[in-house]
Amino acid sequence: MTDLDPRITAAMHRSRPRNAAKVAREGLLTVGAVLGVLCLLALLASLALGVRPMVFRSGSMAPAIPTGALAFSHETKADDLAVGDIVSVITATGSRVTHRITEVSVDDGGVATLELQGDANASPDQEVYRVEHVDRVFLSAPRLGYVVGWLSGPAGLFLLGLYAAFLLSVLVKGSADSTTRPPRPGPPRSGPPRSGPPRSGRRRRRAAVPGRPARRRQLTMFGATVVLGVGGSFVSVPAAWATWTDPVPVTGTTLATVLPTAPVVVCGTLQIGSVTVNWTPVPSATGYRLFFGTGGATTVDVAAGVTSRTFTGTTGTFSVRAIFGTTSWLSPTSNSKQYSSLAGLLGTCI
Amino acid sequence: MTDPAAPRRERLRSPRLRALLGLGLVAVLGTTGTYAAWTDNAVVSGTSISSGTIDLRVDNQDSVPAYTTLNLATMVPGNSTAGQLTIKNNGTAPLKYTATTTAGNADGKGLGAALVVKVSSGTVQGISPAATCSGSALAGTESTLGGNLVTTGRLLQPGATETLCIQLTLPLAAATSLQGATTNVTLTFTGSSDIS
Repeated sequence: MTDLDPRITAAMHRSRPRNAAKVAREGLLTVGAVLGVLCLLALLASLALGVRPMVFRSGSMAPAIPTGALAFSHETKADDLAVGDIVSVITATGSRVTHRITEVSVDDGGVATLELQGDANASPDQEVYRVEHVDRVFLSAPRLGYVVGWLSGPAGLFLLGLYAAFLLSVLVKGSADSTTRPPRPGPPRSGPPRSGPPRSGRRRRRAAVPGRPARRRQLTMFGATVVLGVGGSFVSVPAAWATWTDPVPVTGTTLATVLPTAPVVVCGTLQIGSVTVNWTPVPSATGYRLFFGTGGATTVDVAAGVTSRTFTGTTGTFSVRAIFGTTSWLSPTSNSKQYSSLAGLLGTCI
Repeated sequence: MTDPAAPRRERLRSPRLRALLGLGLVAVLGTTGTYAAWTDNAVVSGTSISSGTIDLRVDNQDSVPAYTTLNLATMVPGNSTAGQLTIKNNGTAPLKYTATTTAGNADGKGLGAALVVKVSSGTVQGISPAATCSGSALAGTESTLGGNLVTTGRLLQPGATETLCIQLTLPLAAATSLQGATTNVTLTFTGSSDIS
């Protein structure tokens, strides 16, 4: 690209018109033009057909589409989707995921509910996607994504920039060595007038048309701007983040609440003027509610460690319920005992 | 190209025209990936291609089939059970993990729905049936079973581990209809390479 300087180019032309630099320059121009036309055609085709290129940044679709693949998709209506299609959707977090359809159902409104799973994933995606239309992959090429990625990186952009600068210099100053032709009437040209050897027929013919180089240059620059603008506006390779997922189930946890059982009341020690009643402890009980007095109308809550009650100088009916955690969780009522512990008499318990 | 007599082939060989066409290559190649960086830069900066793997492990296993730490057979209102789980990224790429739970309801009593969950980064305090997790509940975690548990993805770098403490509580206000109920709880931790 050292031949950017028109004076050097002109000097080379003077001394050895067919030297290596010129051949390289011509080759670069021709190859670049061919590739450029191909790229523009591909661009136009993709714009017309709604084709979208994608780079795969991870390998959850391997081996069908490995990491670094370049794939092409086009927009497909929900009705045309089938299990097994590889589609590209936007997740709730805004990233693009390209996975295979494992389940699809289309409602009356033409909205498809998709369950997707990467071929290399053990489970389907957690998110269920609802789409009216979706990008379906129809072609993929392994490794080409790396090329695209490299070209978008610093080194690639630098090389492309150099190439673009070279092309622009050809566009702007491409006719610089035409100033070597003898002066003729017409608007002044840039660059110092020089004399030189006879030029090729092509250039002579081009040079034979005087005037309007400035206007032609403007038109050319306009065209270049349009090309770059169109390319910049519409060409995109959305990176397809074919998400890996890896589920780990943790099973074996069982929780059960207590099934409350009623305590059993038994008569305890009978003494003069007092009666003791006991009840069987209930597992998991956090306390007991005692019913005693006439008709069992009096209630008292006691702690879980208490399993007996002594009555002195009273009569009544005794029963008990176990409390579990809260006083709203009570066991069924136990059996009842009639007790009598009047003063001076031996207590009774039936 | 302003000379009508010039042969077409020669016109095509014009350096300017070829340079102009060559710009098509620059336009198409130079802009590839740029758009992706705009929409996806939260995922991966630029257009780098990562080929790592992710491997989420819980307690260093790919599945934990017999996790009984949280088991309680005779819960009463106010009881709580707690256990720690170690989440590890055993792969080579960063991941974000989330967690969901299911709670069986074979007896129709709805014990799973009544349990309150807490996820913290603390440790287990006390012993069952009064074990609790220290620390406050992590942001982006839920307090009920049967759905999302860790909703906001938690980032784990390759090789990194994080210990979660899970606490299940039967509230004091639990309905009496829950007596004698049973539920089987499954926690599913899902690692995802989507770290946006």
